[in-house]
Amino acid sequence: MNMTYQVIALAILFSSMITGFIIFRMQGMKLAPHFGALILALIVTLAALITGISAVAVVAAFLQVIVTLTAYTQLYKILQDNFQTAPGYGAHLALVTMLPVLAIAGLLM
Amino acid sequence: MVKTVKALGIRAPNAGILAANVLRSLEDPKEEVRFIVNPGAETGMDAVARRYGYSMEVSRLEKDLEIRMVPSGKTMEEIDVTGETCPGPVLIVGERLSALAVGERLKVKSASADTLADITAAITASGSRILGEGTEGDRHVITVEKDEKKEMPQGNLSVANRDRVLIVQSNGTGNAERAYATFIFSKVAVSMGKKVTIFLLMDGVSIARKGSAAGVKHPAFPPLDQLMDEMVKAGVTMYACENSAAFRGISEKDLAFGVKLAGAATYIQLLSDPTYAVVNF
Repeated sequence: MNMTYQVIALAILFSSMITGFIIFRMQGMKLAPHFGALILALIVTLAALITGISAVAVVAAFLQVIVTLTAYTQLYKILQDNFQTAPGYGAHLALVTMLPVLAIAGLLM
Repeated sequence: MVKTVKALGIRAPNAGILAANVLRSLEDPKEEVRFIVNPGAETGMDAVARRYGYSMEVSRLEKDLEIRMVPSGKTMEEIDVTGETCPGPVLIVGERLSALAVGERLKVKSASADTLADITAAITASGSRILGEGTEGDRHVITVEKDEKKEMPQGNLSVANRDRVLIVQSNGTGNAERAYATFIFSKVAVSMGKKVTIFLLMDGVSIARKGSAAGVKHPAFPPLDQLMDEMVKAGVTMYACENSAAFRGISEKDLAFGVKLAGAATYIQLLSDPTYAVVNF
């Protein structure tokens, strides 16, 4: 398993914590499941890099995909009707959308 | 054309004699005549109208009566604005009204009661009057009488009693704080005895979509949909901009309880009303 992708994913997860915190302030408790998944993925990714255990890296990759899915499921309703405020969510969505690609790349390469 | 005869101070049966002389001397026998009389003076005028081939309608002005004599068989102009979207109906009716003389009437039909409410706002703002409303089959109907806008006496604006609050919400569910502020400020205004109207505009209409307010939560407050229901039950009027709703594919059936669609004319009318204090969120 290539851990380079996990390093990149960790950087994205750290950045996502910042953009996520900003949209959490705008949106409130609705995003709690996504924020929970994000924190969990960050911790497990960090653990995978420290321990170097492949099984932990697989769990980290799985959680990274969950982060992306929860972002879209929680924000879909907002994006559906909010055109003017949608750009406020753009940075966070762009970041978390990279995670599944990196997760799959980390597992396959 | 409509001829207006002010006969204030003339009692029955003299008012009837005056009406007979007016009808007899009309140059155009198809012309309508409005008599403005004191209450009680209308006695016997119906017989005069029948004698000269007119039908008579009586309506109350502020203190006086309006006796309208319409040549029998003359039909009122009608217009159906069903299918038109904001601001189409207001513009169509406004154009048609501008071609009428003061006192002439127009019947406006639409399948949407909200569209007629918007037209009503525009018509009353322009000085014309709504004489009646009802339904004909599947159409909602209003009868409009063309009139001229009366100038407000100087000084009236400064003494207007601002006992109403208009809250304009244009951020919607995408900004929870502003969404909460809309209903918390409404609650305060209602508790102060103010009449509150909320106008949901642009992103603000996202709040109007059935079920969407339930997703806006904050630990310090009840869910937004609860606050919204509370305000509707407290008598707060809630409008969603028809155009903004159409942009987002929100139709009348998608609206949450208590929200009505309204057009640009209603919004402009609310903003122009000096009795409203306007708050933007």
